[in-house]
Amino acid sequence: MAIPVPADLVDAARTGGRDEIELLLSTVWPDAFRLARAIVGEDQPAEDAAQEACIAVCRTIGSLRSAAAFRTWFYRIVVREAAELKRRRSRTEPAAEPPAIARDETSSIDVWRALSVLPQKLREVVVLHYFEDLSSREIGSVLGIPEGTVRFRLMIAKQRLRPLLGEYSERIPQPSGEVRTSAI
Amino acid sequence: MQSNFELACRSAREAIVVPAIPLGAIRHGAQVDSGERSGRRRRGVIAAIVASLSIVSVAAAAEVWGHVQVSLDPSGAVLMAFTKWDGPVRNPTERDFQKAVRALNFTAILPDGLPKGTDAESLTVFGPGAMQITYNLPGAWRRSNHLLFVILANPASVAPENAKLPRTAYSLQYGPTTGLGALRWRVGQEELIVLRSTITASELAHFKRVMMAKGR
Repeated sequence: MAIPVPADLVDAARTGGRDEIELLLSTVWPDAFRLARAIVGEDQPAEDAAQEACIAVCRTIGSLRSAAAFRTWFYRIVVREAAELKRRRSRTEPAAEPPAIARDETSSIDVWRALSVLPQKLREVVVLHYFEDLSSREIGSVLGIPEGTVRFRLMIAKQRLRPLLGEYSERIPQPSGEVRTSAI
Repeated sequence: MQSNFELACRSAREAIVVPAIPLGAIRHGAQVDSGERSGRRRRGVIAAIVASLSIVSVAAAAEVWGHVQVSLDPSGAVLMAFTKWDGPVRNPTERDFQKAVRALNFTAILPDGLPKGTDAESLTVFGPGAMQITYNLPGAWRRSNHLLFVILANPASVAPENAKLPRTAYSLQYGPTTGLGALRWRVGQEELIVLRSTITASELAHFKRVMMAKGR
């Protein structure tokens, strides 16, 4: 689901100068913001977290082993920054209302509500799996946990979401395979 | 049910409106040495600040510009009267500073040129007219006198000496421990107030030189 990052772009950023890094950051910024937004749940903190992640990329991309490792490495930084920001906010600010940013209210608000009821650890695996389309192995690598733990957390998350998803599935029409023809 | 959820997640993800990338802030943040910002152990600051401040209610009447008034007492103390504050944020990050600067009603120039190894220990915004930063100066020789208080204020919020404090919900005094004398410089559009501490004359001169250069 995420925009693929060309390996040569990552290599250029690893070995190049500021322009190459900024080109890479401009490419991955939408992914960084969306991931942070899904984890944090609000726009402004998500922008802060994505920005901090980009700063971390600027500082440490030279230490990246290979371009192939970029995706996992990058997700790890964004998740870490977003989780840290959320943890700090939860200590200093009251919990925000479930967000309503989606344009299509009938299809999206319940997703945010569902995410908001999940604890942080479950929310992270759900976001990485369903939003970012990562496999259990990739999620394990991002979060630094075994693959089996990822699958377990996904299972627990689904159990917790089941009541919400049941209500949700009644409201969201299934894509139909029916082919309609009309006379011209 | 699950496929519905997958579809909804994709839809929700695509519906997120992505803001423009803040390249300027990223460039600036990347230039700041992370080791200096977060690598060392911080000392407790709340007790030190509480010991050097006294917050009392006041009951006189006057209008406060920007909900804060800063006045310098001839004794060396700095007095602030304010109606609201935000903070203190401990161990503030670049992000905290940016947020604080956005909340101010003047163009703030953040302190630069302090001795190498200086840490920002806390950050507080008073009204929208002033910001106070507490720094932890490096060097074991300073012993327990390692804190440096710096106030960035809108010039319109800085009162003449001996001015009567306006009536506000709160007032605050830096001193007498820290009120060993305050220096006041005009840097760009801000009033920079530095309370003397164990910062040396040469360190202070360097700090002033750097700030004045930034203000031009």
